[in-house]
Amino acid sequence: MRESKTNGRARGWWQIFFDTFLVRNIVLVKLLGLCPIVVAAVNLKAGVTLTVCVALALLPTAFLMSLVGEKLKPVIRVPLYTLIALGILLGAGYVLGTYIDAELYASLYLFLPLLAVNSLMTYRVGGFAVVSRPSEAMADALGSVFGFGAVICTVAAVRELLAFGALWEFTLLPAPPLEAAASPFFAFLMLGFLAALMQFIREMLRRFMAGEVSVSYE
Amino acid sequence: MNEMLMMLTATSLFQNVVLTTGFGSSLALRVIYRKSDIWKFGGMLSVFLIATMAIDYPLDHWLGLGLQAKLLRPLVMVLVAMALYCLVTVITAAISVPFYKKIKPYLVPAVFNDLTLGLAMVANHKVTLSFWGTVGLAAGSCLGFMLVAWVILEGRSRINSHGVPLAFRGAPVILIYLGLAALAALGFGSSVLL
Amino acid sequence: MTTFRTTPHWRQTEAASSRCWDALIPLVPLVVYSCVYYGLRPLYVTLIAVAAAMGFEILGYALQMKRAPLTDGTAAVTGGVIGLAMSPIVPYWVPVVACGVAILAAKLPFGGRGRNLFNPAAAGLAFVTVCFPVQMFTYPDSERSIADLSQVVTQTSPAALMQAGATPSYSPMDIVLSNFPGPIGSVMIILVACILYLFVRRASSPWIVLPFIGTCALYAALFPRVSSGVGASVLLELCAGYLMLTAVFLLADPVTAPRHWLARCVYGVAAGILVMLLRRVGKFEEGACFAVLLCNMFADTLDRNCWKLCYHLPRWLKKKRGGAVDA
Repeated sequence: MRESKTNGRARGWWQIFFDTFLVRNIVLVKLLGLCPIVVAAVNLKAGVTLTVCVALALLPTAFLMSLVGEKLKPVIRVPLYTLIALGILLGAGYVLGTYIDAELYASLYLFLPLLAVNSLMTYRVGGFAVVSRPSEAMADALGSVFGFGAVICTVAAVRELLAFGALWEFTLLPAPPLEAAASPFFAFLMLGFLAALMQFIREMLRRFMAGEVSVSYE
Repeated sequence: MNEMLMMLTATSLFQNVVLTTGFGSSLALRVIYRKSDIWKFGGMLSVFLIATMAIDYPLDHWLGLGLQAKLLRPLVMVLVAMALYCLVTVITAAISVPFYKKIKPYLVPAVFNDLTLGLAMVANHKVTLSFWGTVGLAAGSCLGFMLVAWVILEGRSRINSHGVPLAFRGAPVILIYLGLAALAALGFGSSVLL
Repeated sequence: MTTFRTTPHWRQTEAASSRCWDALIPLVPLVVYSCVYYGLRPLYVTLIAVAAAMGFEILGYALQMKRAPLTDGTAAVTGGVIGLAMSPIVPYWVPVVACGVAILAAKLPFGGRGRNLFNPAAAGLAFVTVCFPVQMFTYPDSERSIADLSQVVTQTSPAALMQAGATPSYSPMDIVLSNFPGPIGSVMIILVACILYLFVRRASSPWIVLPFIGTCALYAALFPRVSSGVGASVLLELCAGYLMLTAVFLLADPVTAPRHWLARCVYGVAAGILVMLLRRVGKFEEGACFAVLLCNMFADTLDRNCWKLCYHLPRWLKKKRGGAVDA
């Protein structure tokens, strides 16, 4: 049985999933995938669309790389997973623009292809999945998708509410209270406070469960 | 030439591309941990970014503005980046294996990143620039990235972790630091690129 | 080799409290002067800002289950400076938001008093400038009462006029006495007195303030935005907006400013150039807070490099002349 080389001991898929999703969230702890959140996540629709696109691109490429990645040289492996991810994203973009919401596609046109070369792809597919078993790679990819999705949707929802007074394009407030919430600086500040909140909750849980569960992180 | 200088100064200083758009923010936080990383990685990023955008410029004009062009544009840009990556990898590995091993950790993030593809997409979609304007945009963005990477390094070294509240230690305080830096950059206005 | 401590400074309680109370005292005549023109509203704005800053400090420390060190006066100074940079008719929630950002985003996450990397008041002002520029830069006519806010007549400030390319028509006496629309604390004649007081009390560094004001004056003289002569340009640029307030209270913050005398000079000059550039090409009529934040990022680098320069340059020159160099 092939051992996961990431930390020298076998971990269950659920441990990997929760580690990447919550404990060491892919965005708030590992600081991956910041660009789409900071730039593109200004409304909830965009947040959900980007999450779905990340899932469509990350899951198959992570699975494929966990099967064959180690056997390929980097000069072939990296272009391969990038092209596969880009192909999926371009297809998803075409479907989005033609059959779902042309306006949304127009607003996300610049950002959908960026997901193929995002740090999320580089580090999770090119870094983790290549040296992992397929089950571990899929658990990590799922955890990354959920972790990224939770953060981007939270940030997008708050920014849409503050900058446009709406949620999912339904107007909730008579006037937008803070139009500057659509600026990148607000996203960075919000991510910082979300990361602090997550760290606080984690620390409280750790203290609460001290002695019952032994947890070690790098 | 004026356009090149204008884009160079705008994207590196007055409307720093990383702080006003967010492109390359993960790169600056994840890849740069020492002062030497700034020059090594920044240098490689500059070479790839300028080369990618310089090669993309005529290809993008050849593609045109149709629906097929919209779909093919990112593919062409990534293919150019891939070609450069393969070329550099093969050539450096053939010439000097120790040198290749030195640059290997930086090679993939320097070629495949949202700063490169994002700027290449923006350059011919959101703003209309001449060839030299595009080169200025690329060069200015690299300088801007290195400046922000240096600012982040400075922040990391100055933040006294013992004084920082437990909840903010590590990633949270550096994100807030970056947010305040991005706020400071807004004095000159938000980015012209987006 | 001598060790050199760099920013942020002032982690110990060493003269922390006395410096802060020294910074609070000059706020009083500024508020009183503004009240003579506008009634009690500037006082309310400043008091609400001070109370908000202290309230957010208590809240922030309470979340950490600690007691807030309010007696050092840093929160009060932050609130007071934010209040003074506001318009007399600003809605009360604007300085509250600014104080919230100043304390909860720019001060406490970095470790609180003495550990912040950015000047908290500058961060708060920058936030409300970006988010609420209309409320920040709407000033009442200095000749009329603002007792009834619904009847207030607003007037364009000299800073806004200059940004639009127009020349404000005020006499030099009006400019010096601040008889024009502007922030509560922008009173040239009192601010000059404040600077001298803080120099005497050693609560502010002349190595920062004087190069800053000198650079702004020189820039205004060389690149005037008005057509009424060099003297008028210098006077208008120094008195309009809250540039002098920045010089007195924001730039010379002992926690975030450099420590070495040469670094302080360079810091002041750089801030002056940035402030004037922001006024000329920036988005807002007053961008001094952004200049302070940008300079705060480089304060440590300036300190380190100026110290190295002052340490190594004399030795290098001595070596060149053929003398022995001490180890």
